[in-house]
Amino acid sequence: MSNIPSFPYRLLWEERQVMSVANLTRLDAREFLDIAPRAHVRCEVTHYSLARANQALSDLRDGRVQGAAVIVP
Amino acid sequence: MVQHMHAMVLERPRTPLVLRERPLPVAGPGEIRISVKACGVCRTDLHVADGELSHPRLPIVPGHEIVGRVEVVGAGVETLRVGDRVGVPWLGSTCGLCSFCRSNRENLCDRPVLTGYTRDGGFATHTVADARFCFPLVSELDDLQIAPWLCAGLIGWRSYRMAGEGETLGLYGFGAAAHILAQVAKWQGRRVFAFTRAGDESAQRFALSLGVAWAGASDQLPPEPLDALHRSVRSYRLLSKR
Repeated sequence: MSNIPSFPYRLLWEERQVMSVANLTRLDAREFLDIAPRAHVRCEVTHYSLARANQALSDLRDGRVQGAAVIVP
Repeated sequence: MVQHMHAMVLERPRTPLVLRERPLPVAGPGEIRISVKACGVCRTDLHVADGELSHPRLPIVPGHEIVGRVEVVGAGVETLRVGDRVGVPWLGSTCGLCSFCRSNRENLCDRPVLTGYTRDGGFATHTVADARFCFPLVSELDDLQIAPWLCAGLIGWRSYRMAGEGETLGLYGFGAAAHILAQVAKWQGRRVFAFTRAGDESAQRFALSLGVAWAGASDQLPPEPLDALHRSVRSYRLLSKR
């Protein structure tokens, strides 16, 4: 993981925030699983067999995946 | 009946996953065994495989965007039944006792079980999960379509919500989470500005095809000031005072 680049303080002034997000709560899951079907979320998916999981990882690492990579065992 | 499963296993960081046959896992009390139908690949899986996270339990089966069918229900599980379609996310279990768990911040639990990191995940034909952290999935969409919801969607949603309610939203990095959040934001009537790696015109076209108001390179300035920025890949945000 790379360092966060520095930037001038004036960009953060006036109570702006930089914030990280970690993991999820079950409440997040319930909220999103309720909203995603209503928002008609459709994922663009590239699928791989289980044995090709390494290919999926390298395609993701190299930026070759548009949308999401999914393994179908 | 099948007594074995197959899994792609990380035995040592920075080595390729290897296909292994294992005995079928047993669902203990409070657990379910799942026949995995689809499992999304997340950037965190790359961090695990590349040894960038400090405490994986090795060997480990990565994968934490799991959609599957309940195959066995362990003792005491009353919320799920055999045959149910369920999703399993990154947060596999929590201690329930620490100050974070007791203040609605179980995402920060001191002793979490994390799917595909400290507990075997979904790059496998079968897996076992804590039923309390699995979610019934009732959508008519395919398993394949829903798998990315389980992390790109859920954690994307958490950071999207934390970015506030501005009318314009910048998404930095247009990966799996951003392509989901762009659709949610558009549905909510917000205008989305998508920033990709410089020169990645296919990602910019992809973003525009999902209805974003503008797509450009991450070293460009947006055509107007934005209310909220959401950097999807590493999830940090710079939020304006509005």
